[in-house]
Amino acid sequence: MKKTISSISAVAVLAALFVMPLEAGAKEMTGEEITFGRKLGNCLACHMIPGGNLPGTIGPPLLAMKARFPDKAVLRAQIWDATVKNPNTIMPPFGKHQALTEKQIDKITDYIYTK
Amino acid sequence: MKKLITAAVGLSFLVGVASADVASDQKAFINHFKTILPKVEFAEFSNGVYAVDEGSREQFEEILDGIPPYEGAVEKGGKEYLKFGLNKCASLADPAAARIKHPYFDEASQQVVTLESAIKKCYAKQTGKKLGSKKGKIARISAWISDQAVGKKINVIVKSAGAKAAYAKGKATFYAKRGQFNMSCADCHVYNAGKKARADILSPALGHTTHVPMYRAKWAGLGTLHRRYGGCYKNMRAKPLKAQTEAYRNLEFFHQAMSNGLEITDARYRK
Ligand code: HEC
Ligand code: HEC
Repeated sequence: MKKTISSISAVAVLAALFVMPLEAGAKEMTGEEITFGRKLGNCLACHMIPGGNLPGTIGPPLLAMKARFPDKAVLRAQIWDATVKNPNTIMPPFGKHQALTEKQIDKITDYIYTK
Repeated sequence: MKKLITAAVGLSFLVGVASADVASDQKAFINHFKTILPKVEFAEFSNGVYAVDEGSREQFEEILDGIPPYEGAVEKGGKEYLKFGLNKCASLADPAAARIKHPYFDEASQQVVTLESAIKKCYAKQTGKKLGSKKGKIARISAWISDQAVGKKINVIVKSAGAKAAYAKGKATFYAKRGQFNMSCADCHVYNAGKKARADILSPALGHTTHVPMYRAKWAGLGTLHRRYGGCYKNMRAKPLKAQTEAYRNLEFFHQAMSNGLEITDARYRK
């Protein structure tokens, strides 16, 4: 009997584990959340971005993006694969190495473009 | 064409994988750090981030002035060294000499022998049991052995053809891009040393091995150099290798050689 109970609760826990990510996925993350999130873009690890806390100093501040990237596609390309411009860059090729999804990169691009 | 060649040479700055000359590699290494961190004296590089960051330096010194959180563990390591009869192996009988001698290239096996691999081998011989490679007993014993060599200088010798090949492999590992993040050790600990990754200051690779095994507040304990390698492989989103595998031993061979001439220290504390 005891065994059944614990296995029932195990099933419940498992079910909860599967449901949770679904729910998390259901709530769309904002561009800011994807850009700042440590397990996602984590762009703050290297870049100062207005509105973000504890920025790193490895890359240049991400400011005045519209002026510096009149063509938004160029900005997106930089995030998708920074090694095209600089093969030795420390910046991860987020799109090429599938560290982020295409949609996430779109959202980061849009968000950064407002800075 | 000439321009192309110089550009290629420029890119291989410090990378020069083909060369395996410690003295000239180290000279380039030291010159690089002199350029990017002109205020840091050579001897100070043994203090890692605390040589670079005045803000956290004070806290570091306070910890060292008190009873460092690893003191008891290192003492225990000394007792374990005797308890398990590690003084009976020729390789470890003189602990200070053992710290200085390792890592070295063993001609018979054509392999780099690290201090921890020697401890593991001796422990197995004396007790018939296996010892881990990352934390706990091995880190305590290794730290105690290293404590006996405080003030002596790191002096990795790379002479024979086999040693040079192992060193060159370790060097290539250090400079190779890897993982989902496509980063190299040098990206963080050479080119961007002293800069901040979020709130973490990146330590210069020069001096990285003077205080190993290190204590980390994050670990709440001691860990070996290869434990730290594993953590940094994760930083690059690469799959860590097993501690004491050949690739890590070769990496250590190169990595320690780059600190030749720096004093071994018992200031093991890191954030
Ligand atoms: C590990 C460090 C690192 C991370 C993480 C990082 N970058 Fe970068 N980034 C750099 C560096 C360094 C440069 C400078 C250019 C180079 O290295 O070629 C750069 C350049 C850029 C540029 C070009 C800036 C300019 O003025 O030319 C943009 C845009 C950019 N990064 C956006 C991002 C975004 C968005 C993210 C997160 C999704 C991100 N970066 C994550 C290091 C990083
Ligand atoms: C994404 C950046 C990054 C990369 C790439 C990286 N590390 Fe680190 N490493 C860190 C950070 C952050 C720390 C903790 C702060 C410090 O001491 O630099 C650290 C710490 C260390 C330490 C401890 C330093 C000390 O004083 O105790 C060693 C040793 C080390 N790294 C070696 C390596 C090696 C070898 C590689 C490549 C296999 C590597 N790291 C790759 C970020 C990185």
